[in-house]
Amino acid sequence: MNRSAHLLLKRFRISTGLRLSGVWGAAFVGLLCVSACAPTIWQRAGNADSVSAALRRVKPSTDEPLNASHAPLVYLTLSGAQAPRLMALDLAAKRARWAVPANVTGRVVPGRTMLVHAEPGHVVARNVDDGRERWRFPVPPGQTLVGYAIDGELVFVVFRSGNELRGGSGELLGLDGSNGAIRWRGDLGSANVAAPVAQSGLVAVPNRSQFVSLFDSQSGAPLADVLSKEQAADFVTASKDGFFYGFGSDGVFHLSTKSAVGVRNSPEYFRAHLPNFPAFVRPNYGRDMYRTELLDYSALDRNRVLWRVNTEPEPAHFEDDAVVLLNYRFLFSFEAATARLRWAYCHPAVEAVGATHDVGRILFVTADGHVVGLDTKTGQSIYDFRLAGEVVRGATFDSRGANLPATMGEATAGPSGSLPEALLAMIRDPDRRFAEVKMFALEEMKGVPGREVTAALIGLMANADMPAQVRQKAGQILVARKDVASADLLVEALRVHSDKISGTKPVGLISLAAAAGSIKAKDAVPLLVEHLALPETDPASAAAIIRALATIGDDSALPAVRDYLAQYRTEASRDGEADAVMAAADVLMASGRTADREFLFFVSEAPKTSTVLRDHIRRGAGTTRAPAP
Amino acid sequence: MVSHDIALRRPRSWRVQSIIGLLPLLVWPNLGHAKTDKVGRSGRVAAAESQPVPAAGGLGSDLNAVVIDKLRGLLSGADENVFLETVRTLGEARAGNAAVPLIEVLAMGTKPILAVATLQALRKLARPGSVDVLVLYAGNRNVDVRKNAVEALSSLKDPRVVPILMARLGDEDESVRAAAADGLVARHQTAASPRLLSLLKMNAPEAAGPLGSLAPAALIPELLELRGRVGDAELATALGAVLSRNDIADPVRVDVVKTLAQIPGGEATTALAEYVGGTALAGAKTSRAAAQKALDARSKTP
Repeated sequence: MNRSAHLLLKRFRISTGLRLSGVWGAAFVGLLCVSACAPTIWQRAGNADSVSAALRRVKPSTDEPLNASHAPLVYLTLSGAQAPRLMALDLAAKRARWAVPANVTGRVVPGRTMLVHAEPGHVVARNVDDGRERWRFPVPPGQTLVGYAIDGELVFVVFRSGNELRGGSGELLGLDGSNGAIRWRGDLGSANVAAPVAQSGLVAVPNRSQFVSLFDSQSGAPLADVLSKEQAADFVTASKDGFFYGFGSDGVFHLSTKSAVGVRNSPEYFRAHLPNFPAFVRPNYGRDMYRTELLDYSALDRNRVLWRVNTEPEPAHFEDDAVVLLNYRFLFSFEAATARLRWAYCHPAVEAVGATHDVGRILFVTADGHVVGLDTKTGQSIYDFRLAGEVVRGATFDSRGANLPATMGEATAGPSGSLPEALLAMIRDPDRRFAEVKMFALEEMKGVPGREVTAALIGLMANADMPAQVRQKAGQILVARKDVASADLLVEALRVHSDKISGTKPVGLISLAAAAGSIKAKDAVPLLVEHLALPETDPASAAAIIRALATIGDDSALPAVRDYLAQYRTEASRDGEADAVMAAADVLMASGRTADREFLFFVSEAPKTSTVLRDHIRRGAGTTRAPAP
Repeated sequence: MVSHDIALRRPRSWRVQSIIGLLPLLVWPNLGHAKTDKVGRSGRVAAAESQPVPAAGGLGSDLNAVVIDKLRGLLSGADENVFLETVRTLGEARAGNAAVPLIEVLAMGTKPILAVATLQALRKLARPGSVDVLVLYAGNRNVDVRKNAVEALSSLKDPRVVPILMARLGDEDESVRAAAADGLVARHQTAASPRLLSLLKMNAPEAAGPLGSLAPAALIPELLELRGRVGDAELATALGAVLSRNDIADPVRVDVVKTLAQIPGGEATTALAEYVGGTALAGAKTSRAAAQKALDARSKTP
């Protein structure tokens, strides 16, 4: 009896209290031996040797399009007024290679001579050259199509049926690419299986949430199982540098012997350290391939992390040590290790429906057929092509590493200048759906120097079309930037008074005052004093002005503060007024002048002074410094 | 800025309970006249006291220091009725320094309702020394306070007043704008015409009469072209005010009358009727005849 069978028998005795002997005991032990000798996935998973052996079979791959002509293609699922179609667009030639009627319900997977996609009830294979349907494979009754993949002239399909906990099953089929005939089929042993990915002789299938099983693409023979130990593995993908797997919202393992058991502290684990990951972006490194509804193009393709890991030069690293966040119409490149924003891009009006992190570039397609390429290092537009009159629902790129014609001489896609320009374009964008993006862009402006930024922030505060929260945030950033060199811009903004005839209104007075205070802008004092004496200056603004005057420390403003306190001392019980008059009292207390102290004494004793203010002055009286002679 | 010094030195023991005892002194200030004690008066309030008092106003002698201090006592007490009574009485007083306690009240601050009464009293007194405190209160957030401050300012001849009135012409509140416009008319500030015209283009009724009173002759054709673009009532009021002036040439009046004749409604009829029924202006025969004709035509219209 081997050791594990002996241990199992011992555990059985302990747990049941039964003592087996004789023939029954021998039979039971034999049964245990069989079960113990045939390794289950639980026993196989994470075996570095088997993973290593499987990966040794992988043929080297290169950074070039998968299709036989190596032309950079993008497959577009088109909808709109015309019947649903599938189009192959040649990005180098800037023309459609073909377009065929097709009711695509599952994303396109590109291959060498064919591509596959799903239509209702079928997996459909088409020629890359002309889009002609090559064959279609029906989804068996009672089965659910989970996903499909291509490697060379073979197509792999995963179906599942039933429930994982109630005897459901999963099956991986190898189909002949030429006619769709079944070449082999393999039981995946569970209904908890995900879509496959294939490359260079291997098929990888995430299953049972934590495993990625590797199969020989020619025979379907199971080769190895990877164990994601600390988190689920819900996606797998392939590139020139091999397979990658991970949990979509967390990070990526490069599939190697070192990550046969995937733990986060592995050197083969990649995750952008973005402590301030913008809340509006889904931290999504890959779609959840267990979810069949995500087999089709969805909103997930428009809001995700675009990344690419290079294994050379070692150690493996994110390309350019950065990841790019796509959020519908906005792209941000962050340094993966420091979260520093390198560049940003704002696409005008229409959102991206599909994007890829290609070699040294980001390619994306918008819903109105605009194909844009951006340099991953700079965010500059390097490719631009507009497919007129089409409505694009989804896109799959097959363009890896191919040369694309430069943008030179053509209309640019959108503002992709300096980082401040791009952030400003986001902030000024009239689309009111993206308030969070604007807020994020504003936050990033905090660290961007320059008068144009200060001017833009002031302009934003004055822009009535902007959401209130954006205008408020612009004010906060204006204060936080402490841009001493742009004090004159603040002064200019403070010159605006309310006038019904000219239609002017001071805006963001609180922020302007606080900003002037934060840089001790003495030139702003007369204007702040003027505002303090105007009827349109609300109590909150008055409080900010009084505090700013105190921070600037110009004694010439003290009479205006006294006047303010005198005028409103009886109204401190009204909403907002208490703060302003108490601020005024604080300033006078801090001045240390005898006249101010006497005035405060009067205010605290006068019968019409509000109780709130009286108490405040009395409390503060004991804490102020001795009056100056 | 306004000085807050005087009230700080106010002895509390001087507080009295009623204005009644002081009435004779206020009405006949010479009864209590004594050398004014200037000790403790400084800054702009003291300056206000030292402003020359126009003899033409029929002002009496200054109130003596004892009376002034007793008045301060009444004004600083908690009884608002006493306050209002005192302020009202001071507003009627003929003494040259009757404004001083009122200026002090505003300089030290009080409740809006009491500030309004104080400003009304200051308006009646129209003392030049009150300009600083009135300028301050013309920027008060309380609309009533602001309006009364503007009205009080309008009664002063100080050159600082005009810029304030011009600014308040752009006030958010209609009553404040109206007060400012009236003040500008009283000063015959034709420079206010462009702003008043802008207001009229916004259909602001408070601008109509003042614009008609102030608009230079060169601006009247533009005023006439507003027919159909602004409210009939507003335009008729403005044109009616134009007709009431004696500095407009009769051919221009004729144009005004013709435009009024085309404007429907009671305001246009009233303007025409007032012009016809008013004192005949020299050289306005043609326009009056045209106005009469327009009125006759209106009376025939069913």
